[in-house]
Amino acid sequence: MLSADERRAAEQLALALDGDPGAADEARELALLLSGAAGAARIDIPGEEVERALAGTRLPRPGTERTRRRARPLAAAAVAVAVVAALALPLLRSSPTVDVQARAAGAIDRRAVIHVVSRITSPTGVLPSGGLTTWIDHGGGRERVRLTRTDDHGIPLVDVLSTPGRYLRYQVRTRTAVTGPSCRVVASGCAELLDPVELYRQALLRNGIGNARKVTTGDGQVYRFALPLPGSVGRPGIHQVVSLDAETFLPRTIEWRDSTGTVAVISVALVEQLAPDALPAGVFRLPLAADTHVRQVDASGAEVRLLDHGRITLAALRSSSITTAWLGEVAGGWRLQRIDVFKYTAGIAVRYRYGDATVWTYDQVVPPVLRAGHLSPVKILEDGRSPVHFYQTDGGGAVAERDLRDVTVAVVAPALTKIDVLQLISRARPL
Amino acid sequence: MAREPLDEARFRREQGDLDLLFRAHYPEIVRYLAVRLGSREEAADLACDVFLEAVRSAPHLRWRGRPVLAWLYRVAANMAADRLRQRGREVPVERMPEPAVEDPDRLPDREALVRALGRLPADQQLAVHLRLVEGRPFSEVARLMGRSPAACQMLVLRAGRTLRSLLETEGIHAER
Repeated sequence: MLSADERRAAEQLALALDGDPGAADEARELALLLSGAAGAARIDIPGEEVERALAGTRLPRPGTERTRRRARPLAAAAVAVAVVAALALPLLRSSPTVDVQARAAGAIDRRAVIHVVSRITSPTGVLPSGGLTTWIDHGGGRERVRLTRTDDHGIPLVDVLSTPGRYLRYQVRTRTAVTGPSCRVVASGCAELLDPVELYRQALLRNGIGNARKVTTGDGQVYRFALPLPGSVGRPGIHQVVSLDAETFLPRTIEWRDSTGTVAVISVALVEQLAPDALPAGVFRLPLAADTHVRQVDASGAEVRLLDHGRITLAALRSSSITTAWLGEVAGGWRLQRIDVFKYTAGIAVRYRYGDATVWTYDQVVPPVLRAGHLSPVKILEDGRSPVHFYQTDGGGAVAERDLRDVTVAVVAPALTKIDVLQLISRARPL
Repeated sequence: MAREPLDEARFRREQGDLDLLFRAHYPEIVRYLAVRLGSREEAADLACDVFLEAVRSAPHLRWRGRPVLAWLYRVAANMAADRLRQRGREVPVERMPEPAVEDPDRLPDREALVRALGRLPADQQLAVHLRLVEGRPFSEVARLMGRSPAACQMLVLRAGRTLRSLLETEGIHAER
């Protein structure tokens, strides 16, 4: 309930913001402060940036839901780089840059899930050499990335899955996996998630093509142009030289260069764009071998350990500083029976028992019972609030999980249907 | 009330012409996200996602007396919250471009101001953004936020007080 004084103070501030000199002292003070902060936040967005960003959100061709550039033999792509280098200068001619920019930006449609297959050759080690397969789903800001690196013979080395708030890296040969809240839990984790074609796309949208030239190569026509690398990527001084297919406007090769010459060549064999509902099953699931050793780490990379656990009353939980959520005193016809708190080195989890349903809430540490299934969400449902992730525990029980503002809630109910579990989790609210 | 048909016509126009929607609102969504995320670059990137979501969803939106922009802000706020959660709730603040401030000598350090603004609760931040950064009257702020004008005034009051105390903890005091 707002007091009359508060309401008056708010009205006074509104007057002060309108420039009324008769407003109260506090109102004028706050108006000055707020105006200063707003002024600092009032950044200018130039018209060219708006147009460039707009070009990047357009469909490439009306009615085209799926754009695919068939894989060319990788060896041929590598040869093409050399041919481009040899033939480039005599055959250069100017082209209308604005069209290349717009079509290149439009060719990679962010509404689609992007699938890229490439081969990286990097004698200097600035990028890991070998095969790289990436799936990127920008999914309205909830970015999911699946990335698989192979050796030169196509044998998988590393498989990585990154979804909002979850990161899993699987070392295939050693059958070890590390999981945590973000790619930052592993020293090279975030760098490893960078796909060179995605870096090209980001640079294209942010910087635009300054000077594209049409070049005839032994493998058809390409547009060639240079772009910077996004700020924190690679070593300082590296830029990318892109050869863009003159028909599809998709990259064929991307060379990373510094002052010494070429430091990496990315031969793009396939750029495929799929509607989210046309994805092959399991693209964003990372199945682990049965004997995989999974290590859960906190945000700093340290292994998570259980420090203490015990029963707690509702009143004690309410008066504690633990951030948690619950389903209320009664849920699904069951009364709340008991509450337990689990203290880990990196966070706290709370378990509520309601008849056949168990509710977990956690922030940084995934309770062990959820950990195995938690790595591979089966299905994501949107119900107008935050998405609900469905997966199964080791024992096969259905789990529905949802991120609230400060905590994640998971409902485990082996005997219930998904609909029942969904109804239960929809009742989750902060305690 | 008399504005209703005009507002609905604009809603339909923006719903059907996404280029128009983009050009009209992209800059303000970037400004909003830049403070929420503390990064101008990340804001531009996420703003594109907001409009891509608009491309997907705008044709299915129903007129409920609120402009498409209200929906854009809601999507932007949700995406920003996701992004912050993804980052482990860190809010790094990068240097913002030099703003146009009338009387800089009387104001606390700009970076500290933007940093403090970024630490406000999401609803207070949005109210401040709409009223002060974008310069909309409280009646419009209220329509965009789906609240009463008085409630939005209260949010701005609380934002001002929170801002003051955040700055005071950094040893910066606003002049009276």
